[in-house]
Amino acid sequence: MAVISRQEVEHIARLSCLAFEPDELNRFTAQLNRILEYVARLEALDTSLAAPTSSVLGDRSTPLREDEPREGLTREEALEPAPAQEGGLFKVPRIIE
Amino acid sequence: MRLKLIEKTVTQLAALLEAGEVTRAEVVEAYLERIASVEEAVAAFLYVNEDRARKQARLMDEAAEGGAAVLGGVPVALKDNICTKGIPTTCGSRILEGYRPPYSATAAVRLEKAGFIMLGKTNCDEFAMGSSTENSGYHPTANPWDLRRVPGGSSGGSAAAVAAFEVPCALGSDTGGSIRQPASFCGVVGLKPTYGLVSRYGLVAFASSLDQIGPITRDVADAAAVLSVIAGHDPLDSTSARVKPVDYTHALVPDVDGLTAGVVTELSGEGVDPEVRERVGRAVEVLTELGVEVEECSLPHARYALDMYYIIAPAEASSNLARYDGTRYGYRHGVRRLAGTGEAGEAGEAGPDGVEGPGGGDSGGPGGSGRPGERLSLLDMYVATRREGFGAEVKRRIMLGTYVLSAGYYEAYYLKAQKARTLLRQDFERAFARYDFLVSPTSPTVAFPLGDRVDDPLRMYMADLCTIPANLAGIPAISVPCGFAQGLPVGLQLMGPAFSEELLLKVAFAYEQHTEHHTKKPPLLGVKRR
Repeated sequence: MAVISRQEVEHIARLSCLAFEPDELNRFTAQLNRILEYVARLEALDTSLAAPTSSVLGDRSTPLREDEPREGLTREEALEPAPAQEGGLFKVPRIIE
Repeated sequence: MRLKLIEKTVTQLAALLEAGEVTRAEVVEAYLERIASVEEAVAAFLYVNEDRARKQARLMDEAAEGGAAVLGGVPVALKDNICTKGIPTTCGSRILEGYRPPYSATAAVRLEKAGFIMLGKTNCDEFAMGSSTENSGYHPTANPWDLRRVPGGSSGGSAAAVAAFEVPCALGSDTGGSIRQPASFCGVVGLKPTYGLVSRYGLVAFASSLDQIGPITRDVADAAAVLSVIAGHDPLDSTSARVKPVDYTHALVPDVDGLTAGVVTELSGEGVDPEVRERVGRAVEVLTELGVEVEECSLPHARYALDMYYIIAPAEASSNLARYDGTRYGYRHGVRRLAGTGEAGEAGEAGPDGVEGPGGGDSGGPGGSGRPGERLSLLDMYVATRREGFGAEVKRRIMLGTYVLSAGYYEAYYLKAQKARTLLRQDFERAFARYDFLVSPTSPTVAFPLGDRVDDPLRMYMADLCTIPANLAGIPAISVPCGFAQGLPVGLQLMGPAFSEELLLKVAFAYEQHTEHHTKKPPLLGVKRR
């Protein structure tokens, strides 16, 4: 019994902003199933008493820095690597017709 | 002379340079010559920083001749996911082909300030996702010990370059073993520092709760020297630990008498090659001879570490890699950057928005949906860009991560893994209450043949079996050469509590002083030109 169906893989691809050819989709579905079947071993583990770890820093927490303005990248520097720019802005395909 | 020069360690080169016995230009030329002669066989680099390195060496030599106190002049290479201002940084991905960051990573800046000369950017698995460097979007890298085998990964270029004497030291990054495992495969030293010890500013993010930069060197003293330069608090990284600067070379005292160590059962038995087990067993005997009290020790949840990792790391990656959308930098579907310039050139007949229909590009699949010349929507542009720019493993992890974070599955996978991560951390806490450090093989096997695991992602993931627990717990770990199996290097892994780098370096140094594995050289790579 597959953990994830081909249809679900297609759905996840949409959520991920990815797209696949039909044969790729079949291959990915098979591979993702193998990986998910493997990690399903975790189900057997009792974690009811554990709090989730989102950071290993724990109580070595990170105090906020002073909110002091400082120089960042200039507009030109930030735009320079862009595939397309115009008038000091990142240029993308038209969103509103 | 030159061959001798490239075989010097960082520490030896620094001493020669300080004494004025050799110039920076001579050192840089010696390594560039080596790169020119072996790179065709090893292919460790994605970019050789030839002109800048030569210029920097010359300026430093001139300053020294003029009587100024000039620090350093030792070459270093950086894994290509470490940003270097104005110098290509691709992360081994086609989606960042031609990208030159507008800023440098803190680790790179610190090395430069300490006088290191950046010789080039090294190959890696795309976005550091992989264990063999075969997931590079550009080319694979060969293991200098056997050119038909992988160098390990994801920092395979850095490890291979150091092992092949193309550079005396390099930086890698380690999310699940990506410094230690290639160091083990290539017979060099690799250190993953405590999470937060080295700034991640400018390290292109893969899994932010796990990523850490560290040194790959030919011996333990060099690991200490490079770590001393790159470690320390950085206000530009919010997870950077507030620790005082430490000179780790002071830890290099071969006195480990009376220390206690645990050999981790879960990382040393099933799944570990018997010959690897035997070499690590012998290394443990050496530690015992040096006065370390060694026992078997259990981390019961370590057997679930791979499961946790392949939920948590892809989850974080799926979020981090959402930024590659063809808008602010890197590749965009239908737009080609002109090599060597900062300007975007448009391939074929680009539409008025700098985006063309799939007909003009190399695609035509489900990414776009129209006829040649048809204008794509913003969403279509994102999808086509990512579909063409990312390789298979990166897509697999983005998909996996999106799935485990998606509605209905978040609790069963992601939250469950985070809770299990707590149990594993508690295992380590209990172990470190009893032992000063823990021991295991670095990798369950020696370097495997190129192409051997590329079609089997899960089998590839198994290569990280022994290294992943340290990342999940955020603790430091080092891999040092401990012998050979089938003529290939085997690595010994030492793990310690958070911020115990001095202890780990001391133990590793003591071990190294009593063994000769680190002095072995890969078979001389002949000059091979087409």
